Amino acid sequence: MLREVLRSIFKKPATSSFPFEDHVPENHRGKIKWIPEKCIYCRLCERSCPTGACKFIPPKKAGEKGTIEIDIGKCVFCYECVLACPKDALEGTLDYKLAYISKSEKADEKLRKKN
Amino acid sequence: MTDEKRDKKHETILPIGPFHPLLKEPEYFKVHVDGEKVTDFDFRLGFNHRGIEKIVESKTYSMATTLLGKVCGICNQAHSLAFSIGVEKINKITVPKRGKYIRTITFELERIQSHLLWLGVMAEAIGFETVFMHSWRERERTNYLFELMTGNRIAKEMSVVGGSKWDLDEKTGKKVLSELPNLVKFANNMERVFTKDKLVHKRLKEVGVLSKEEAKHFDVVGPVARASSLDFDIRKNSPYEVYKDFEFNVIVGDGADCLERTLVRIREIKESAEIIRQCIELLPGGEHRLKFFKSAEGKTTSRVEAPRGENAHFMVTGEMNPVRLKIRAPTYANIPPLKTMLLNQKIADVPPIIISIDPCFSCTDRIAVYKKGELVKRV
Ligand code: SF4
Ligand code: SF4
Repeated sequence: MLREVLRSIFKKPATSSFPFEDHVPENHRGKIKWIPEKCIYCRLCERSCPTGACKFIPPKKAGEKGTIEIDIGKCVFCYECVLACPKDALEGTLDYKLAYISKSEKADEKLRKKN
Repeated sequence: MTDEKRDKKHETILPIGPFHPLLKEPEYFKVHVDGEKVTDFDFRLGFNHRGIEKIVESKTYSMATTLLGKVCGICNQAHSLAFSIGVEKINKITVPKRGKYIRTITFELERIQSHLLWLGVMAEAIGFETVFMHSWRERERTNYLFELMTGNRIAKEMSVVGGSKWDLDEKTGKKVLSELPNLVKFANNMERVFTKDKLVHKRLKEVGVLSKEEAKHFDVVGPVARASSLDFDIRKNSPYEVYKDFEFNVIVGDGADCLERTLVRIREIKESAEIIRQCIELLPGGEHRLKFFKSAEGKTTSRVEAPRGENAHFMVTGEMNPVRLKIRAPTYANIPPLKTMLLNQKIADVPPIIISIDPCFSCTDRIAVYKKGELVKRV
């Protein structure tokens, strides 16, 4: 034990200085991005989602196509939707800083970007 | 102590839980004490029931493995793997060898992770905070490897019906291999500390003894059974997955006390590291996952050796989703002998003894509904 103590005096800290330094591995599972140009609206992603986070939102006006929305409050980042998508229209990103102070803040993406 | 001999007049009831700083999960222990000595012990489960067995009935098979990963935060692979093996057995699927090997790598790495976490908790319970810090620092290595392999530190979701969800590239395999010696070195270091340190012996030796006969009587599983000289490990006794391909020893100890349970777990870390090394070296090429949508109808039981012991899943499958799933988590078998272990021990030894079975209560909680004394339904 004493040897360990002496060695530890000269060692780098085991923890990382988080806000200044990030270490995210390249295949980390973060927020999911939807690419509308590739999507064929087959809704397989919606059907394979275990938590109901991935939802197809019907278009408001005729002639529009609707959107696929992922509620990150419900999402468990299992990536079933990404694996199910036949056209690679859903893509994983490394963005993991997804905490919000309140639900209203989550809804207001603009506010988040400002901070 | 038999009931006649007990001096009930001078007994005090010491309630531990449902919410108590000692417990990480809500559970109620009723400890009867006479002075410093424990004279009786009772417990109640069911404060953390989440009804996962019921929810799973409304999920498809790919969703079910994700959900079953949430049964236990620490050994989540054990549950999704047991379920996958069961469904594969019913459908007679030949899982690609590569998928099986990759599942085994994460499964064994998870055992190392779980034992390191437990070692820290145990060390903290006996007031040895240095070991707590060190073992959790080493555990960080395994978590980082999980993140490299699967993309997530805790919810790994590696096992799915038909193989492994993620592939393992060569670079990550090498990284895992390069981290193994550090883990083995730490395990050796800890083995030395726990066999030699006099203070540790004072706290753990001959505390919470469960003899071989008692262990057999209570049907305990996992490291608790192996520390009481019961040579029982599902990986050897009824090999699943690819355990037949590897050479490894089942660690059995004969001390039957808290110290032996600690040593068995520390030695298992080294065995698991050995299995992972063989796994990566023998890793076959090819596919790692088969597509699976519809299941045949049938029922089966599948068992795996989770870090805490034998984990059994009984399932009845339907076409799109499971009709019934019953999970027997390892802690369920290890709680009843607590009374035998605790009788005539000191109050200060209650935390190490409860922790020595490596309890995981949220996996264990089940609810049975009784109406007028008759069993109506189990959830
Ligand atoms: S990652 Fe999983 S939980 Fe999240 S939206 Fe996709 S399928 Fe649903
Ligand atoms: S699975 Fe892919 S292509 Fe189909 S709706 Fe979802 S995002 Fe679009």
